[in-house]
Amino acid sequence: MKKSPLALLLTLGLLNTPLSAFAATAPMDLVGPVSDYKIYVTEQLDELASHTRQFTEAVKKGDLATAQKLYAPTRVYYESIEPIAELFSDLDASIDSRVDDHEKGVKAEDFTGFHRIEYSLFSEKSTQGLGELADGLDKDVKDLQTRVAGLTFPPEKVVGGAAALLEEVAATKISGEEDRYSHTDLYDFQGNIDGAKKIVDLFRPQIEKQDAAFIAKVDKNFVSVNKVLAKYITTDGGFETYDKVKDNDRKALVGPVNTLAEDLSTLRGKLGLN
Amino acid sequence: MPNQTSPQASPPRALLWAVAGSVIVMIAAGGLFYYSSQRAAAKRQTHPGEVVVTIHPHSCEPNALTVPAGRASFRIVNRSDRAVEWEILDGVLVLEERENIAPGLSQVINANLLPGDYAITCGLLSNPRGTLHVTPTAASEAAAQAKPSMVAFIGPLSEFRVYLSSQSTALIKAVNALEQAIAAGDLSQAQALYAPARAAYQRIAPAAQRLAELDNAINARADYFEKREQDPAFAGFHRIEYALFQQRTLDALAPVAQRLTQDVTTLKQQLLAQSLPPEQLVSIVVRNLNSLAEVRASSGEEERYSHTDLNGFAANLDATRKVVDLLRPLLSKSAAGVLQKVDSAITALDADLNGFKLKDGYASYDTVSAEQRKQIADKARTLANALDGIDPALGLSGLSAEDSNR
Amino acid sequence: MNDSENFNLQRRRVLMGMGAAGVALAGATLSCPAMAASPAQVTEAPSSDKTEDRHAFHGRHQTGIVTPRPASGMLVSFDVLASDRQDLERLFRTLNERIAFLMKGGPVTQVDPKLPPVDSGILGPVVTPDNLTITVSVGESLFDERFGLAAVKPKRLIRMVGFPNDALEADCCHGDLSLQFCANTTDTNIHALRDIVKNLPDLLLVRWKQEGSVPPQAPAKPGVPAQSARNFLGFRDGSANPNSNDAKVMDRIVWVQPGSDEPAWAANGSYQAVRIIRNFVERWDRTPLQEQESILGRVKSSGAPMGGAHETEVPDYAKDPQGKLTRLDAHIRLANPRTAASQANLILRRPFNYSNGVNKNGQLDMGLLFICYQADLQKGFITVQTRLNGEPLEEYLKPVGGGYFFTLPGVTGDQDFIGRSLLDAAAAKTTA
Repeated sequence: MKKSPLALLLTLGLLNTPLSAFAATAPMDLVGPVSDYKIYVTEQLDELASHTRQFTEAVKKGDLATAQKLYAPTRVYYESIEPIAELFSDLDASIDSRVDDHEKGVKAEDFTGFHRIEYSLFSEKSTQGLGELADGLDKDVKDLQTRVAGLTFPPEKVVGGAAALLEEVAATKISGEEDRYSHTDLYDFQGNIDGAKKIVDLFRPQIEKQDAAFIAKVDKNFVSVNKVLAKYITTDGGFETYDKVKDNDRKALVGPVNTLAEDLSTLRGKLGLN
Repeated sequence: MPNQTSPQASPPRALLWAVAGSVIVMIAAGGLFYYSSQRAAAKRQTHPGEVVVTIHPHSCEPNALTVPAGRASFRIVNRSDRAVEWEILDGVLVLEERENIAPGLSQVINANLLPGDYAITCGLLSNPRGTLHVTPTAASEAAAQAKPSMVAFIGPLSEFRVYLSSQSTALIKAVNALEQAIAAGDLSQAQALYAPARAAYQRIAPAAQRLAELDNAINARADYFEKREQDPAFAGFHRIEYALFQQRTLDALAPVAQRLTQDVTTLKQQLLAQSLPPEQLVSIVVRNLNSLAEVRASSGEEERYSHTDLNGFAANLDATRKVVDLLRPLLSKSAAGVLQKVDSAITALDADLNGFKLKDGYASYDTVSAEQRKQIADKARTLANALDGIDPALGLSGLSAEDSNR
Repeated sequence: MNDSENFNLQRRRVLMGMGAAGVALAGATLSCPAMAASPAQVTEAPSSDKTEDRHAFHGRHQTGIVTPRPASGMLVSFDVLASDRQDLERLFRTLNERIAFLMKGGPVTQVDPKLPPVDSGILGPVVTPDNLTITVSVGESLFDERFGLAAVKPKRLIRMVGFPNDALEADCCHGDLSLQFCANTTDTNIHALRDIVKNLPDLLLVRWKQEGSVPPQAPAKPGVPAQSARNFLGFRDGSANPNSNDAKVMDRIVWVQPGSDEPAWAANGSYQAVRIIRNFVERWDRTPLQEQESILGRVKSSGAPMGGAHETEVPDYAKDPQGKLTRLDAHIRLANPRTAASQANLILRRPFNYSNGVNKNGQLDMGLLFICYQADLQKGFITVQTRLNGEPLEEYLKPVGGGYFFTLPGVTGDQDFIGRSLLDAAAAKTTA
């Protein structure tokens, strides 16, 4: 097929441009969504603080049933903003570390936070001796609120948070390993997904400007994931335990989750952020 | 077909490169020509001196101005019989302003203007506005191309927006409480709630004062109205202040308070909807401190009925501190000397104001002597001048040439 | 074209092995030379001319440390089942004998077919060395009350303590004894492991093992420095390793020196730090290239430091005090800040890439079998890793296993055996 010299020239021209073909989003256009995201995170943390207080009160009162009931709905507020919480790795460790992160397992002195309490509530089925852990959790959540209030959110961390949340899901939620004693992983799963979708929604106008087809694909995959999760919503608005998730549903989740992880990993690049 | 098709004969690589190269050179040459012709045109233009605007009782003259982009000086001559303020407006936003130009006197306002069309105010709020047309120059075009990284400011600007959001929420709450006290007929409670509500307002006043219409509805003093305190259009905080502290009555105040609640709610929405470019972040607090230094400190006219001026000044200083803290990382990297000046000026003004602190709130401003007021004014001026150093040090004005919100 | 010419063309095509399909190929340019006349069979053993490569077992130091690293490695940790020091000596003597044989190669002892064969037979009736080295190291737990070695424990040998990002799994950590197997091929290592296990059933129990590999490259052109092999993050791993051919440098950085504050028997040995570091490869592969490079501190394709052209270039951090070129928390900058003080913390890295399986989330379990050697474990690996705590790369890593060991001094000759100097020193202490 013969090409005209001009077409050849254009092809050559395209081949010579640097591969960063995405025009950077005007920085002023990012100020609105970044600050809206901080407002969202602040609100989520306010909810986390008040729900955690109720949860720890039940624990300290010895009300096992209530504590068990409040465990998962409280965590959702943490899971939705996890990328920001993770910026404070010491707090993330003391609030949300899992037993495998500790060599001495459940006996480890530095194993604190939600999952350590989860172990007592759901595995040992007891609230005995949890007073200090409960107080510690309250304190850590308050600490997190203070630190986030003082943090200027770097825009690339905000936008990158969507991908980070999907990585969380792909690496830990698909297997049901996060809440291994209570099997309430679906709550966390939904929290991660909602948090990621929030970020996409805040930056939607800017993303659409760069790549409308991309945002349509991302939306479709969110719908797929939410559809499967919705199958497991219980009558009281919570979720079934993870062991109830059928194998074919687990597989139905993996595809869109991995695809979302791949797609959202390009978000920063598309918006011209590092 | 048995014969092999001859492979596509492509032009030799060298030829393709040569053609591509010459096209690039041509485009570059064209650009160079345009740029140099613009520079020549700019050199031919005369350097503008001051543009004189005369304010008459019901109009200003001229009421249609044209200046080139960049720094301009406006001399505002007040030929009316009351103090006036003069503003350059960009849509609903105030770009530059000077308050309290005394009758018979003139003031010079300097502004750094980007190309575009603006409005100017002409004295009384009821007077028709004039127009200001700013033409592009080679320098403004070049600045628009220069594009230093704005990305570093996304953080501070976002944080400031979050600050405006939470402070506005606090303001709405405070005004709400005030409204309820008024509705309940509790004069002393309403009086007690006035100052906290004003402080909440003053903490966002630098940003609020960009929104000309809304700020007038919330914050206008009696002098800006033809019939002063009796003018039916006199509303907002100071109408409430007048009733609470001068008339000492809650009569007819409920609708004013309701309207104020509505207005501060609208204020929050509009503050969040407005985009604030980096140089504005600093210039709004500079302007606020200048008005403190030039007018409000000495006159005590801001809170002329309640004499709670110090309460407002301290809140203005809070806002200034917020802006400085948001820019601190950038300043300590690129303008440490300016930062030091700013910090010591803040400390000085803070110490001065703290001297007037009582068990509950601040001393009544009518007990603050002229000499003491001058001290406050001087320290505010020092701070404003120190803050003025930030824009050139960080190159803020050059940044948003592309991103100005027109 | 007439009929006879046509026929000749056809015949040529058939002779070239193209057959009827040759018509379609006729116009295409042949891009590679035609294959050799006799193609290999499906299950033919891949051929290698390196199976006879061997290293001398005897020497002042053990092999497998400054020895150039071949393509296959395996680290095996053992529990020592010996009940007393006599048994322990038997363990060391047997190890010595087996290692000497395996590294030299030679015919396998034939026994009566009614008996199980003494060799697995993986390498055939004649064992080929295939560049094998087996390096023997001992863990801190060997110096407990069992063998009375406590008094001669190397000063800095401790049980590995987890770092903040670790998620150590008890069943792939620590051990009484480690054997590092390296050879051109995995099968040689496996053959050697099976030989040792078979010969020491009552004295050794395999605790954990991790195999690894490094991707080979074409031989370096003369005059061009060879390039480090890549890890599973796609980056060259081993750039800036100290020069293993420089004996003075190795004496300073790797080998415990005679006359140091370590027990005398430990001279010419080294400390070995092993870390099994899982890489979150799916997540890494979803990270923008720019970010990958700024996290590591090197250009991915060449291995050069940021802004450089060649892997061997040394970054000049003095010219970059604010980390604008190489981030202050970039991996290489934290690991080696290149200050006068950090010169004391150099280590010799000799890692392999591992690929194990897939985890319950459907994600791949692969990463780095990190092995390093240093004369001072505290100043070396522990200090370096402490500097790395909290680095951005941690997002993609999870150390799950490993341990600290002391690599025994070399076997100097036929009268010597691996571990002899340790046992003699312990005996001297007990009789003293």
